[in-house]
Amino acid sequence: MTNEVSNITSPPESVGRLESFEYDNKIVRDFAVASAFWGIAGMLVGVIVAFQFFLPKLTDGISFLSFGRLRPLHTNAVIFAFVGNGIFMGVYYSLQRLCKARMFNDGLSKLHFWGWQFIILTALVSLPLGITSGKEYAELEWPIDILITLIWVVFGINMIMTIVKRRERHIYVAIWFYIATWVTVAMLHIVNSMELPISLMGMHSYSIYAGVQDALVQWWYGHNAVAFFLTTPYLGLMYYFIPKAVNRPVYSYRLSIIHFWALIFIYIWAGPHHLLYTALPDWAQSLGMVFSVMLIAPSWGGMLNGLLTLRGAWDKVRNDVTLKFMVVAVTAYGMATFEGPLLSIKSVNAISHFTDWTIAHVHIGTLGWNGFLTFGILYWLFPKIYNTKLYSDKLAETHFWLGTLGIVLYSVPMYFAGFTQALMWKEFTPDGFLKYPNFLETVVQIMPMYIIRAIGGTIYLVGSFLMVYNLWKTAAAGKLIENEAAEAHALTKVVEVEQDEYWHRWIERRPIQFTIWSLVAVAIGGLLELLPMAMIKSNIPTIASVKPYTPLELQGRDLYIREGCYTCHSQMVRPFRDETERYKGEYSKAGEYVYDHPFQWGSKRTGPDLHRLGGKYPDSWHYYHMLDPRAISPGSIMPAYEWLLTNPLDKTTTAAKIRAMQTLGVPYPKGYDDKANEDLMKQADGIAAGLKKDKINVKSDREIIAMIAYLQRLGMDIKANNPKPLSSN
Amino acid sequence: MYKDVLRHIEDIATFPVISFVIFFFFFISVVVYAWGITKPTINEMENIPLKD
Repeated sequence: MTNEVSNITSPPESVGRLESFEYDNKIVRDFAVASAFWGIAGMLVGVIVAFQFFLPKLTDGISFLSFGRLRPLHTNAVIFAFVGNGIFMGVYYSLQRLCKARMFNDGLSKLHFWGWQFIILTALVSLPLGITSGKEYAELEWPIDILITLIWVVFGINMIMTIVKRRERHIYVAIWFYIATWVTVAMLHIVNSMELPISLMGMHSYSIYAGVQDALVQWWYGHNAVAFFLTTPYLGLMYYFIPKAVNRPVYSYRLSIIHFWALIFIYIWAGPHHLLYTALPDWAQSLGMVFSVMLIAPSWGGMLNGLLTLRGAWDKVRNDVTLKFMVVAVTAYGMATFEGPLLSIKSVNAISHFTDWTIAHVHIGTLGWNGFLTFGILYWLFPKIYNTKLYSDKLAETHFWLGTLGIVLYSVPMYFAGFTQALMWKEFTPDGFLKYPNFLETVVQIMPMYIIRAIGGTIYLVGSFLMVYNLWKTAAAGKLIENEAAEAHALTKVVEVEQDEYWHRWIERRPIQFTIWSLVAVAIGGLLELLPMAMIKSNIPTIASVKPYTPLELQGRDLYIREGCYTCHSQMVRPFRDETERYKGEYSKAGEYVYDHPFQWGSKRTGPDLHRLGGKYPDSWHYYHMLDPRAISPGSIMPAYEWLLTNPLDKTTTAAKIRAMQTLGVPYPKGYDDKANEDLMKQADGIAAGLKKDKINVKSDREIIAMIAYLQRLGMDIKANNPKPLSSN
Repeated sequence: MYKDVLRHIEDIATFPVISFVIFFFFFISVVVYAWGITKPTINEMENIPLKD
């Protein structure tokens, strides 16, 4: 509440005294710079991983630059660093003006800013080091998760108290979206990040959920991270910045109210559409599908509301580059939210899932919707807070066209790649055999698509560099108005009650109650979706032959997670004939994953599914394959993992890992933690001896031995004994 | 397989129904509310961003 000066004038009866105060533009500028900076960094990592698809040796031998470690860095950077800072930039600018108040506390604003940047830095270091929880978009480990929670609370207090202290009676719809974002992200993050640290001195932890439950919680989170981090806050920004940019109110405020409640209510249910045809229960799959299809209504309602705000002002779009970015952003939102429900229909998902179609879909959303809306806001904002004109409209125009071209060159090849994969994976000969039994045939086929995609991504990145230059020159030409003077009447305590006041008018004036009711709306969905899964925990059909991993396999599994293998390989054979044929085994059963903390089903098959890999190849095949994938599988685009061959396995963690698993309910015998390393070495010596017969001399305490042990275990429980599910419990 | 397991949970079939019913009535009440807002109130609310 610094910089607040009150001067007293004689107030009219229904309004409070006129107060002078200042908006904090410095914090807005800081978040804007951070968004642009991390945007460039995140996109650069994206471009590097795009090049790795056709230049798999690009970062050969450098473990921390391998695809499996960089891909989580890319996704986390663009989501939480680029878009995250973009959200805070937009919220801090618009909230102050919509509330006619400075942010509640400058100290909290600074703590929020620097705390968030520190979190990003920890991600930047930890993810390339392979410190990961192995859950997509939630890879950051437990100490960072706690930090995220704390900083998120700081943001929440700062935001809600600003709303409480506001001088505008009504809470504008954009703020509803901000509140829903805050409350839902908090809920999702906490529930999904429930993990048990192996030791308080280390970074590593295990998800407290296993297998099917972990998958459901993770995709409830994963889907809603898209919904409540990439969508709702940006819709709030749309409802503020588009009316500002065209200087006319939103097309229909009534529609925005329906848009808000319908969207947040429906979105939360849609998570299971990421798990169609998996071992997830049918009812959960159907629920996810139905609500996903329903989502099109509020999504398109919002999209049309944004676009129609430009009614009668389309001529402005021709000359105003800010509006161009915003119009394409909203259009991309419309495309992505049309495609999303489409992809959630089971029959469509059967062909789209695990392919590059998904990659195309998400990039329409991120490059188009999030990227372009951020760029549009930045171009609008910088001249405002620096009290000058944009340095170069022409350069911004070039950025617009480069960005648009980049999106097209990125997405179109990925659609083609996705369709190609789906068709080739599923094609049978007239005799009933797979027409393309070798997975690599598809990979080789779509290589040109990967090359064009990388070019598209690079063009988009070049455009972003132009923007940074343009904004930097704009800032240099003006002077930042750190504290922008403003005046508004204080709110009087007496509220005039309309005769026919509805409950909603009542709640619109009460931010804390509003927050609580938003939480109720999203929690109902979450509870009804997750509760049955919790209830069946004790009822998952035990498969007698499914045993806990041996200590060596457990260590190998953690290496699998460290290297991010799940970013390219699934462990989920769906119940389709082409999949059971291709992967030579039964489709995956829920009971097979009961000891998987976390689950590793994956979401994309750049390489083949691995759930039935065990026993398919000799140990020596795996050894050579990790050393040089292309020597064993010509045409493979898998990076080499030489360091596994030389790194000694860290056995000091074995006992703690066994104890953690025991705490999570994995039935290792009592006191097994003491003997675990003994068993580990026994198994490792056996594998090393076997390799020696194939003329491979490797010490038994190397990481590769643990990795081989794990890979050879995959699917073996069910292969070995042809198990019959036991009765429940 | 899972269907058999889930049958053991009492009234599992009602979960999706409960979901839909809650959503339906909530949605209807929001629509009714939005419909009922008076024009001057709407005008006041939608112009908040433009009042800087």
